[in-house]
Amino acid sequence: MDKLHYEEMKASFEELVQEGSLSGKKIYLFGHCNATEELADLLLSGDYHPAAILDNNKNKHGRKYRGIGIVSPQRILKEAEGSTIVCIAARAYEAMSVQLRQMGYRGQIRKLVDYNSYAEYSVSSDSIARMKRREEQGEELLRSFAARHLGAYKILCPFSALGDIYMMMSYLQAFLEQRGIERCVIGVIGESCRQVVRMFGEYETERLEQKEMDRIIQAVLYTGDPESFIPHQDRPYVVNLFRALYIKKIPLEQIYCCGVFGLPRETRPASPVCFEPYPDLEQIPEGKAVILSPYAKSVTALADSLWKKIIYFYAEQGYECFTNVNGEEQPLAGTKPLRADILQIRSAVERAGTFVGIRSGLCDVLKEAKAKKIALYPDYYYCDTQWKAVDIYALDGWDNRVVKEDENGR
Amino acid sequence: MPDLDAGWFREIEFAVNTHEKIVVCGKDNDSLVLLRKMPGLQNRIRVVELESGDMADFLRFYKMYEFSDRICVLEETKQYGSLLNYLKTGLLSQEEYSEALLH
Repeated sequence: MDKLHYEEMKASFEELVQEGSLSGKKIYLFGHCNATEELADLLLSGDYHPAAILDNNKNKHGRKYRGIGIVSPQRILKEAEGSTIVCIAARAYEAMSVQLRQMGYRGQIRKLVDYNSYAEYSVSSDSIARMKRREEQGEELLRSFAARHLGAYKILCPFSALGDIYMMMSYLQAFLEQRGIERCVIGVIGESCRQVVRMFGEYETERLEQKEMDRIIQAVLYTGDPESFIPHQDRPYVVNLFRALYIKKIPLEQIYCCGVFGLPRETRPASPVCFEPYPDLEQIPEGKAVILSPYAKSVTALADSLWKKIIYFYAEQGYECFTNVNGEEQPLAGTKPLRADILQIRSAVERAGTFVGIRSGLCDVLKEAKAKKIALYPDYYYCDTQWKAVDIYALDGWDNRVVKEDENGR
Repeated sequence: MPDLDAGWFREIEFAVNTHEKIVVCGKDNDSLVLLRKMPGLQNRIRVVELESGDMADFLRFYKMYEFSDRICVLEETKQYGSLLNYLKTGLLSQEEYSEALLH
C-alpha cells in the first residue's frame, strides 16, 4: 500500500476509534491481501484483535495471518446481529459490500481506503450525471496532455510503483517497434518513477498527480483513444490479466512481456543504461558493506527483530551496515543512513558489495547490479490467488528468501 | 446519457441481479467460440451477447463507471493488455484461457 493510502487508512481507523464504532464489536476484515494485512497490523497495534479475515478463496480458509484466521464470508452470519463490524481495505470494496448484503449481513461495513472512486453501483440520474461530468473533465485533461506532447503516442502508467515501471520499461521498446511507433511520451506518477524511466534512456516523460492520471486514463478508455496505451497488469476491472493467476502461476516478467505487451515469450528484456554515481561513494567500504532496504510502500513490513539479527550477522563479520532511506524514513538501529536516489542506488550497492532488502520495486531497479543480492519475501499470498509473493516476484540471480511468520518475530 | 430503458441495459441488469458473475461481449467476439466449449457453462456464468451497436453503448456506459469484477467484458482492444495476449503468446491454453475468463 502506498504512503497516501496508508495515511488514509490510518485516519479512517482513528475515526472509527473516536466514534466508538469498534468498541465492544467483533471486527472482521474482508479479502486477504496485502492491504488487509496492513490493516490487521494497524488494528493490532491499537490493541484491537480482528476476529477473522473473510475471504472467498477456499484455498486460504484455515490459514492464519498473525493469529487471525482466514474464513469463509458465511462465518459472519453466525454472529449476533449488531455485534460485528466489517472493515475493508481491499480494492474490491463495492463488490464485497454487495456480497455481504446479499448474504443477509446487516451489520456495519466500513471502507477504510478509497482506492477506486470510479466503482459506484448507483445508476440514478444524479449519479450518471456526476460520472459523465467527471469523464468530461478527464477528456479535457487528456486533450491538454496530448497538446503538450503533439504527435506522441501516449504511454500512461496508472500507479506509482517502481517495479511495475521497471518491468514496463524492460519491454516498452520491443512493444513500440512491434507497433511501428517512433515517438512516445510516458506519463508517470512521482519523481522516482520518472527516474526509473530515465534509467532506460532519453524518453519524453511527464509527471502527473494520481488524480489527474486516473481521470486521463478513464478518458482514454471512454473515448477509445487509439494513440494511448496503459501498460499495467492489474488496473481493476478493465484489465483482466489477473484472472490468469487463478489458473496458472505466471511470473511478473511474463505478465509484462506476454500479458501486458503481447510480445512473444522469448522477447529479451531491455537493460537499463543510465546511472549516476552516488555522491558519497567513498564513504562506503568497498566490498565490505551491506545496504539494507527495510521500507516498501506496498509490502508488509518485516519485524525489527529480524533486521536486528541481519545487522548483527553482518556487523560480526566486520561489514558496515547502511539503511537505504527516503524522506522521513529512519535508518535501522546500528546502521548509517544512505540517501541515494533511483539513478544512484546501483553504484552504492555495487560499491558495498551486498544488498539485503524486502522484495519491493527497488529490487527490480537493482536487478542487474553486480553485487550479492538477497530479496526477503514476507510469507503472504499474491492478492487472493493461491500463489505466494515469491512465486510471482522471484528474481533471477538473486538469493530469494521467504520469511516465515515465526522468523519474522510474530 | 445512456438509455436505461434500452434492451441491453435491462438484459445486463437482470443478469447482474441473478448471477454472481457475468460475461458481456459482442456477438462476433472470437472468444465466444472458446467459451461455448466449456462444460456446464450455463451453470457457471451468464454470458450476455450484444449486437455491435448495443455493445458500443454498453462500453461507453461501463467505462464511465468501471463497475466491478463481477462483470467480465470481452473486447478486442489495443489500449491495454488482456487475457487474450496470454492465449496468443501460448502462455495459456484455450482451456486455461476460458477457465480464467470464467473465474
